[in-house]
Amino acid sequence: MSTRGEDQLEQRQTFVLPSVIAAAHELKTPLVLLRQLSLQLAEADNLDQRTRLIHERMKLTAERSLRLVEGITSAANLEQSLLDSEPIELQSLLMTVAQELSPLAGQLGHEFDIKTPRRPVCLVGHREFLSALMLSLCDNALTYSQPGEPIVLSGMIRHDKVHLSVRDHGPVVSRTRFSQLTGKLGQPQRPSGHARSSGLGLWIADSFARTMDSELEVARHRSGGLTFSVALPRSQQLSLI
Amino acid sequence: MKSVLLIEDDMWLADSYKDVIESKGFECNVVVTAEEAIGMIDTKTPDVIVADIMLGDRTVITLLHELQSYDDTQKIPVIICSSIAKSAAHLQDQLHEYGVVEILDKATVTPESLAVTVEEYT
Repeated sequence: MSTRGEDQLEQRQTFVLPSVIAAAHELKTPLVLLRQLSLQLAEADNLDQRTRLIHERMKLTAERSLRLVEGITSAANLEQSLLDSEPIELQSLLMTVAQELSPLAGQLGHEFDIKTPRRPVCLVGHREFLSALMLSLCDNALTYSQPGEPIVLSGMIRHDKVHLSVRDHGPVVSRTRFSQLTGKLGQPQRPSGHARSSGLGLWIADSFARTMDSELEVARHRSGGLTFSVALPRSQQLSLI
Repeated sequence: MKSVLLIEDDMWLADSYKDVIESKGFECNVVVTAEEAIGMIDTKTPDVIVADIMLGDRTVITLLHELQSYDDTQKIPVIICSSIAKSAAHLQDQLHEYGVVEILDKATVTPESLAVTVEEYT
């Protein structure tokens, strides 16, 4: 016999998740339209600096929202792509992620700091999911870091795994809050890293991590902020060259 | 004047893309469904087609099949512009065989890249 909690979970998966996915699909077109209109407006020659800044922010906000809805719809189709894992070069992955978010980071007063081993390293993962996972973590970091602080993207080798991590410089997270966070990361309705977020980005990131047989981990820093990380198998492909 | 047939069911988005295409000196006709597109192509063969994947009543595949069935339409270049472009990426080879020359992602396409792509295939 199932418990009440299990029943609620099943109900949520049967009814709530499809509704959320449907909503995400529905939201794509209006968001695409908002982005398109702001791009079109920004092409006018006679815009003053302030108006141009507002257009840029509209575009970046629409793109940020699109990444979230894209994440939700991709997370719903995880199983069908399980066989698409491939060797991915670490440095280029992190550079691509940083490059995609650079305009947004610039507007929010941040820069990306990429740290990788000196020698080229490959890991095994699903390229699209891993990219979406890192984008979600970076987006989270951009939201909470203090302006002027860098977002650190790093990839380190430990044993046969490549540990990818995103370190933000947000406010100090209390021990109680941190315990809540680490206790609930693996649950279907995941909380945020910080109190003012719904945690959707982290839920997306964790879903992708689990699909690649890993899980999202989080560490707290006394000086403030969090580091989210995921460990994936190291590919031996480069050593064969 | 070269002409572009735009198939897009969101009228505001269609209006925006039409502006971009016309600003480059093309004639741009907008339709909402695959059926309307086929009717329009019968009246006037466009130089290039820009289409979403979901065309209201059907998918773009129906239209592509129809275009491939006739000599005078099978060489019309088709540019897909869709918000599910990523999901269709694995069908790229198949779509190319059906006359699709480019797949643009609505989430990342800019007015400039849309215009450049249209210019490239006209």
